[in-house]
Amino acid sequence: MSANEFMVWWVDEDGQESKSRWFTDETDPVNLSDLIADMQELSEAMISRYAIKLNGVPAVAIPGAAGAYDIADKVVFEYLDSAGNTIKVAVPAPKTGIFSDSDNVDLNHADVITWNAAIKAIYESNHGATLATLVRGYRTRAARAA
Amino acid sequence: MSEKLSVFYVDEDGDEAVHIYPITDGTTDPEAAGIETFLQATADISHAAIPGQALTIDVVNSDVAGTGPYDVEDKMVLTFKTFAGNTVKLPIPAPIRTLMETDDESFDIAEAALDDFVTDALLYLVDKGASALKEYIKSKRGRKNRKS
Repeated sequence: MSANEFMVWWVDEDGQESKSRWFTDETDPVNLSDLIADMQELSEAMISRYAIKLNGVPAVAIPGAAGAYDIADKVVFEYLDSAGNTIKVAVPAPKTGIFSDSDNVDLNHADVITWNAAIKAIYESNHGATLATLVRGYRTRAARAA
Repeated sequence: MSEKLSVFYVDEDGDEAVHIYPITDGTTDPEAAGIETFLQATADISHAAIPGQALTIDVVNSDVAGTGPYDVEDKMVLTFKTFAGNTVKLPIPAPIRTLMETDDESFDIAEAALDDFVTDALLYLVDKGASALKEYIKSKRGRKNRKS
């Protein structure tokens, strides 16, 4: 098993950015925050953000079954957030079974209800608002050659 | 808002897509239950495989970037050896000058800040194959190529 990628972005006084890319097997955010804090003490540049890219298939992710689908086809869930803004969240290659007709999602489908609860639990918009109401779900299709 | 979850999708033809989901500030662990639940629920409504994920965290940093003549292309390069015998180099851009030895080419590992970081690196960083860092070897200055 390969290690997780660990990336740190630095910015200097002129606004120029530099990225360091290492590897880690640590995912505890407290420990990684300690690492970042100690790293900051070595440099004149400011650490603006960091990212952990987990390598390999997550234990919970199940590869999709083979079928006639394309990753450019998407289902778009449209929400109103708690500040009243419209927020769109997309998932590619949606399963046909979650649709009530050719274009619209069945909002009462069990897997859609589960997904809706899961995204609501972790999502916070750029306005600092949470997802409040699922308005609709619809299909978007990739443009294909005739 | 400061954190984002990037989910990597791949279809049966190997085509890839990345979707970024802004997440709450407290969701800082990519293996936390909320994110795992979301990925599982996503796998249940999508045909695409999810080969990876990344969590990006904006650092709330009270420090300001220094104002001296420095550049992020100038680096301190710390060299480590792993338990597997590999060499790992850790570049730190725009190093603080007081950490340098008098030769202006290497860094003083006895400096507390550098010693703290080396301790953390030995604890948390590994090489690409996931072998842990075993020991610090040396430090060296790396300079940006500049026009004369």
